[in-house]
Amino acid sequence: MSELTRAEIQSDLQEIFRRIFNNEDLVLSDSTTSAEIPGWDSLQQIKIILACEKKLNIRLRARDINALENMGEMIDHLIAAVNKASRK
Amino acid sequence: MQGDDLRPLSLVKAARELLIPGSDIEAIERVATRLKDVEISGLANLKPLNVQIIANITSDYLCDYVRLMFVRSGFAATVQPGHYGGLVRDLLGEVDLNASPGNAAVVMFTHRDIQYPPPLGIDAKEARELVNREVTFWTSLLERSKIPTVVVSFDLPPRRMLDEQDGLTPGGLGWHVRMTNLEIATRLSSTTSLIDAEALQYRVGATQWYDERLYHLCKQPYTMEALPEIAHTIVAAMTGLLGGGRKVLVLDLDNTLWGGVVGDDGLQTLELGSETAEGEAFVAFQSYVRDLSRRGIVLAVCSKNREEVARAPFREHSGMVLKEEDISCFVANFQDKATNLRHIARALNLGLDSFVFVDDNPVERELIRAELPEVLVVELPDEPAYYERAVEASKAFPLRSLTREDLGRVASYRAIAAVQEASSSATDMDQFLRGLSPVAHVEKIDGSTVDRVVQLIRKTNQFKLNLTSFQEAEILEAAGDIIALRLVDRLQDYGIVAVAVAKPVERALRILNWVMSCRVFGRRLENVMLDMLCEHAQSRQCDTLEAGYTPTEKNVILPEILCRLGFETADASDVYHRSVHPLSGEPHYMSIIDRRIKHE
Repeated sequence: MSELTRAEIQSDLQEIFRRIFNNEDLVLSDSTTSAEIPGWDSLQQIKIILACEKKLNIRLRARDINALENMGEMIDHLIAAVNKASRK
Repeated sequence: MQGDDLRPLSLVKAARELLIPGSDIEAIERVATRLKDVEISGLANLKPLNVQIIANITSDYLCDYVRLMFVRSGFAATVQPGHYGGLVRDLLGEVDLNASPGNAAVVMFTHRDIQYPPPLGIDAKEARELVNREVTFWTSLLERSKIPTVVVSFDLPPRRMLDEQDGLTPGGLGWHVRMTNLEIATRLSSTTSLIDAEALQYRVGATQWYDERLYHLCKQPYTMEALPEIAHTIVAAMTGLLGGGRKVLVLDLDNTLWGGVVGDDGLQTLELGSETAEGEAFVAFQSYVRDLSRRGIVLAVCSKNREEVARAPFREHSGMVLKEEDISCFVANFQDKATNLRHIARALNLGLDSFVFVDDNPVERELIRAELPEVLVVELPDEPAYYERAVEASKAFPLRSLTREDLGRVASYRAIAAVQEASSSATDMDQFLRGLSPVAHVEKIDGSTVDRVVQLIRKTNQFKLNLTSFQEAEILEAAGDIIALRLVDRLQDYGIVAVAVAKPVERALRILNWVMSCRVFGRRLENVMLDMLCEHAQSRQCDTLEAGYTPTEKNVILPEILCRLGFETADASDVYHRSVHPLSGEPHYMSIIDRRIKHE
C-alpha cells in the first residue's frame, strides 16, 4: 500500500463527515473538535470511525476510538493505523 | 430555503427506488440518514405510525433503517429508539402499550437477555424447568402490550460451552434459547408477531451478525452491515401485522417462467424441464410460485404475446408446473404493462399497492416503477436459478399465521375474476346472482373462528365502518353480539367474509364495527347482514340500529351503501340510524344456514 498523505486522509474524512452529518458544506481542520459540530456525539463518533476503517481498510482498537479528542488527533491515529497495516 | 419543500418527497422517492437487497449499504445509509431530518407524514399516501423500540441494546442506528423500510412499506413512521437497558422496565409500563390507533412496538431480545441460563451439568428435567421459567417471565411481560407488536426472538449465542451439543441437548444455552423461542411462539396474542432470530441470523451470516467490539463500545450487538436486513425483517413483520402485506404476484412469461420466447422460438425449444440446468431452474421457480399460490398469494400473468400463444405452454408443455387454473387473471396482449396492471387490479378488485411485479425485462420494470410506484417491482437477477431468492428477499408476503381463508383465497379470486366477467356481460344481474346458488352461513364464534374474525376486521379497508379493532379475547367475550357470515356458492367457499359487532345501548343496537371483504362486493351479502342485525336488535329489545362511521382514505364507499340499506344521518353527521323495520327488501337469493343453533 502506498503511503497516504495527511491531506488525502483529511479529504477522505471530510467526505465521510459530510455524509454522516448530512451537510455538504462541512469543512474540517486539524483543530476541529466534536463540540463544534452539532450532533457529533459518541454514537456518531463510532459511525465515523467505522466509515474510516472501511475506507482505509484498517481496524482500530476500541480504546483508540473513544480517545480521539480532535480532528488532528484522529488523523494521526488513522495514519499510524494505515502505516501499521501496510507494514504487515 | 428555496426548493426545500420538494426534498422530503424526493427522499421518499429515493427510498422507494433503493434496491433492497441490491443497493450498497452506503447508498441505503445515506437515504436513511437524510430521512431522519425531514417531515414526511402526509406525503405520498404514507400512513402515519408511531413505533417504539423496546430493548436492552442500543437501537439508535437501527432506527434509521427501520424508518426507511417503513417508507418503502407505505408508512410515515416515527421510530423511537429504546431506552438503553430498558427492556423489562419499558414492558412493565414505562412505555404506553395500551391500545391506541397508530401506535406499535418492536421488542428486541438477544441471547444476553436470557434470565435463566442453564448452569453447567444440570440434568434434562432441570433444564426444561428453566425454559419454563424463562418463557413465563417473558410472556407475562409481552402480554402487557395491547398494540401491534413485533418481537425479535432470542438469537443463538456465539459461546457454546457444550460445543456441538450446545444447541441440541438440554443443558446447552443454545438449546435453552431455541426451546424458549419455540415455546414463546405458541403463546402470543393476535396482535403480536414473532421473528425467528435464528433464521434472520443465518440470512445475515454469523460473521455479519455479532460484533463484539461494537457491543462493548456502544451496546449494539450486530454489525452495521446486518442492520438493513434486520430492519427489513422487522418492518415486513409489522406490515403483515397491520394488514399491509401484498397479495398478488404478477408474472411475465418469456424468460420469467420459462427460457426463450414462445412466440418466436415455438413451444418445443423452450428451456423448461430437467433436460438442461436452465430448464431445471425455471421448473424450480415455477414450483416456488405454485407454493406461494397454495399459501394464498394470488397469481396473475401479464405478458406481451397473443393470448393463444401465451396459453399454449400451460396447455401443452410437459415441463410446466403452473397450470392455467393457478392463474387468477391472465392478460396477454400488446398493450403497455402499466395499463394491463391497472386492468388486473380492477378484475381482482384489489389495489395496486397489493401487487408484486416480476419480469426479467429491465425496461418493463423501469416502466412499472415510474408509472405505478405503489407496485413492488422485484429486481430479478440475470440467472433464473436466483429468481426465487430475489422474490423471497423482497419480503412482500408477510404471514403471521396461516388461516383456512389463506388456503382458499386463490380459488376465491379466480371466482371474482369470473364474477366480474359474468356480471359485465350478464343482462340480468338478479338472474346472475341467483344462478350462483349462494348460501350464507351464520358462523358460531369460538376458538376455530375467532382468528379469522379478528383478522378480517383488522385487514379490511374498504367496507369498514371505522378503525375500531378487537382482540381475540374481546371477540370471544362478546360472541353473542357478533355476526360472522361465511359465503358459499356453487363456485366456491369464500370463508368468513363479513363481520358485525353490535351491542345494545338502551333501545338502540349500536354497531361498533362492520366489515365486509372486497372479495364479495356486489353479492348483496350486506343485505343479509342488515337483516341479521335487525333480527339481533329485536331479540335484544332494540328498535333502531346505530352505526358510527369514521371516514378514512379507503372506506369512502360506505355512506352510499348505508343509505342504500336505508340508514339515515342527521345534519351530515357520521352517525347513521335505521329502524329495524322493514328488512332490507332487495332480493339477495341467499339461503341462510345458522350454525349458531345447536343441532340435536
